[in-house]
Amino acid sequence: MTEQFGFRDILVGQSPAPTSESVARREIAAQVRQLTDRLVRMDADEAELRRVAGVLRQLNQSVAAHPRRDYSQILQRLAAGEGSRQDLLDMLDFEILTGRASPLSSAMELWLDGEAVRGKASFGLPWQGPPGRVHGGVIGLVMDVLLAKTQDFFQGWGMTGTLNIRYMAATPLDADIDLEARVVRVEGRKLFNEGRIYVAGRECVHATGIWISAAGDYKWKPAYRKQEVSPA
Amino acid sequence: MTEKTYGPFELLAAHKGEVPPTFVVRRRIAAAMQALSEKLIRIEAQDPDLEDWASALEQLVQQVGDRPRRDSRSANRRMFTGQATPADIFDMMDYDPMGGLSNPIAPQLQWGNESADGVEGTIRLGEHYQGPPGRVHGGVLSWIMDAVLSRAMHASMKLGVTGTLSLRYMASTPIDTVLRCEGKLTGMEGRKLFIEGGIFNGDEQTVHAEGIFFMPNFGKKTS
Repeated sequence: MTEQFGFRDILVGQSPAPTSESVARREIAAQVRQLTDRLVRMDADEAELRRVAGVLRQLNQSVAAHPRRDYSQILQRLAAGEGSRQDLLDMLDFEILTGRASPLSSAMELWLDGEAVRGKASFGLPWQGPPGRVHGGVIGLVMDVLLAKTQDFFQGWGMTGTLNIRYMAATPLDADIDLEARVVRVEGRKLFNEGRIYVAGRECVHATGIWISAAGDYKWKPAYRKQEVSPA
Repeated sequence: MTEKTYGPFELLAAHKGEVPPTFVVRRRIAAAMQALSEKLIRIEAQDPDLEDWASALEQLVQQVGDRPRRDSRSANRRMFTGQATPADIFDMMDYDPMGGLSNPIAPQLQWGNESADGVEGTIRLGEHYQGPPGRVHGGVLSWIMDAVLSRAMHASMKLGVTGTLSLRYMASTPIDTVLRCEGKLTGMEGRKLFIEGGIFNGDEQTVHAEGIFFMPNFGKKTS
C-alpha cells in the first residue's frame, strides 16, 4: 500500500523519516549554513576570497538549468490528504528557521509538550544585531515562527494578523535559547496566542499575537480540546 | 597621512563611500550564496546531482576552514569614540542581517532617501523568504520592520534600543516583487521614541508597524 500524507496529520517536530533525496538536500543546506557562518567577517586575503567566489559561480552554473517544483500543487495534494512523503518533506524541510533543508535556518527546533509549543534555538554571527546580541528583527521572525505553531492544536491554518513584541532584555548570540508558546483563546477565525524567549531561565522577550484562519473557524483537534488557558 | 575616521552619526554616510576592494569580492560571494539559496528551494534534481552539490559545498567549507573573524566589538568601540576606520564601518554595516551586502542570509533591503523626515527603502524577496505560497513569510516582514524603524531612529540622529514592536498585517505581501518600506520618527516622550513604518506593494500597504524605542540613560547610575 502506498503511504499518503495530509497536512492535518502534521504536528510540530514530527517530520516523517527523510527520503534519500531529502537526506542530500539537508546535507546541502547544512553546508550552506556552515559556509555562511564562517564567511561573516572572515579574516582572509583577496585571493582566497576570489577562489571562494569562483567555486560558488561554478555551483550556480550547475544548478541553473534545474526547474523548481510547484509548491501550490504540493500543498493541494497535502490538503486533499493525498500527498507523498516527499510532498510533506518538501513542505516542512524548506520552512525558514526550522526547515532542515532551508539554507536560512538556524539551530532551531520546535515540538509540542502538553498544552505548550516548546523549542530551542541558537543564533550565530550572521544573525547579529548589536555586538554579541541577536538582531531585534530576527527575534521578530523567531516569535512569528513560534506563535504560528500554536495552530497545530487546531484544524485549520491561517496567517499572522497582529504581532506585538516586547523586548525585555538582550538575547545573546551563540547562547542556548528556550522558546515557549501557548494558545490564549480562540474566537471563530481568530486565534490569540502568546510566546516567550528565555535565556538561562530569564525572560528576554514576550510576544502576543492574533492569527487569522484562511478558511472557516479554528476548531480544536479533539485531542487538545481542553487546553484553553486564561491570559497571563 | 592619517586616514579619516568616523563616529556613530557618520556611519551611514561612510558606508556609502568607496567600497574597499575586499568588500567588492565579499559582496560577490554573498550575492552568489543568495542566488544559490533561492535556487535550491524545492529544486527538481536527481539524487546524484544533489549529492554532487553537497560534496562541492563540503569541499568548499573545508577549503575555507574555520578562520579567525575580525572583531566587531572593538570596531564598535572605535566607532563610539569617533575612531572607526572605513574597514571597521564595512565590517559592521556590510554584515548587517538586514540589507548587509556581504551577509549571505540578509534580505537585500536597499536604502533610499534617509533624513530626519523618515527613511525609505526597496526590497525584493525570493522563494527562500516565502511563507504561504507566493507570499513573503510574516516573520520576515517583522524582521524588515524592526530594521526600518531602527534606521529611521538613526536617521533622526537618535540612539536607542527596541522596547516594543507592534505589527499589523493588512494584506498579503508577494514574493518576487519590488516592495517599498518606510519609517519615520513620530514623537518623543522622556526616554521614549515613537517610530512608525509600513511596507507597500505598489499603492497598497500590506504591513503597518509601530515601535517604541528607549534612548540610553546617559550619565544616570541605576544601581
